[in-house]
Amino acid sequence: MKKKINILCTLMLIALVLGVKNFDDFRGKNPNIKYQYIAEGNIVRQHIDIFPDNLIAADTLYSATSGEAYDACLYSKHIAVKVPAPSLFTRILVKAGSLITSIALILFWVCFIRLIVFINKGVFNEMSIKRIRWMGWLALIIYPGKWLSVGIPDLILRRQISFEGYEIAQTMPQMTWLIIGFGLLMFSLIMKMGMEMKEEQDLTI
Amino acid sequence: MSIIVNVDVMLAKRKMSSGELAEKVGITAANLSILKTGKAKAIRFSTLNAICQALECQPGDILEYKE
Repeated sequence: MKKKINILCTLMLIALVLGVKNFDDFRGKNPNIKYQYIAEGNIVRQHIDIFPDNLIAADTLYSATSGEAYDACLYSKHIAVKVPAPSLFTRILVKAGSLITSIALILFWVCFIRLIVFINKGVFNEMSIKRIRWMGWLALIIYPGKWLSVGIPDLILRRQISFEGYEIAQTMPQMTWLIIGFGLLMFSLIMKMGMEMKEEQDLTI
Repeated sequence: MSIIVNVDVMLAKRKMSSGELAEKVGITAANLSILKTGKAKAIRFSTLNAICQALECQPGDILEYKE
């Protein structure tokens, strides 16, 4: 069990580091990309954020309050791009990703609510630990689901457009779900250890 | 576990009831039952001492190791 906790700790640390790196890629800004992959024939409308490659060439914003000038390091654009219609396989993958994410999200919250409702029956029992473990696995499932539903349209769009002097923000899903997943799995293991210790204590005469 | 608890054998030898022993040792009847049925994970020295005192026996008479 201790080995499992060590492995989960390492995985969570990696997710945290990648999350921070991801955050750094956005230069400290959450890109807040809206995934509006609405295909009208072969037109894709999407909200994207772009960064200027060279901040010196970026627009300068003057703050009337402080009297200081700031570089505009992020621009938001709502674009409509003509792209070839995605293949059936791609569409199935994107839909499957959305479906997996939705189902996992619903189950995650169901587990969470049941955990809260039955908290009066005690936390250190097999059922609560099982629910926390389920929540952990579901959070881990949400991440690849988001990758499929968000990453694939982003890849398709990226092949079609590029702006000279600007970099398009990646629509990578946030690492939060991975961190939550590993954290919950670790927590369930610690709870299990606690339950075993309690059981041992109860059976000491 | 291969540790056998022979409390019931000693109780029969001393013609003592479980309730009486529980009262003398200062543990609940439920805990004594856990001990007798072999469900106990551990036994405190103080409890063992009290049981030996009440049954006038040695720890070896109560606990036995079997392969």
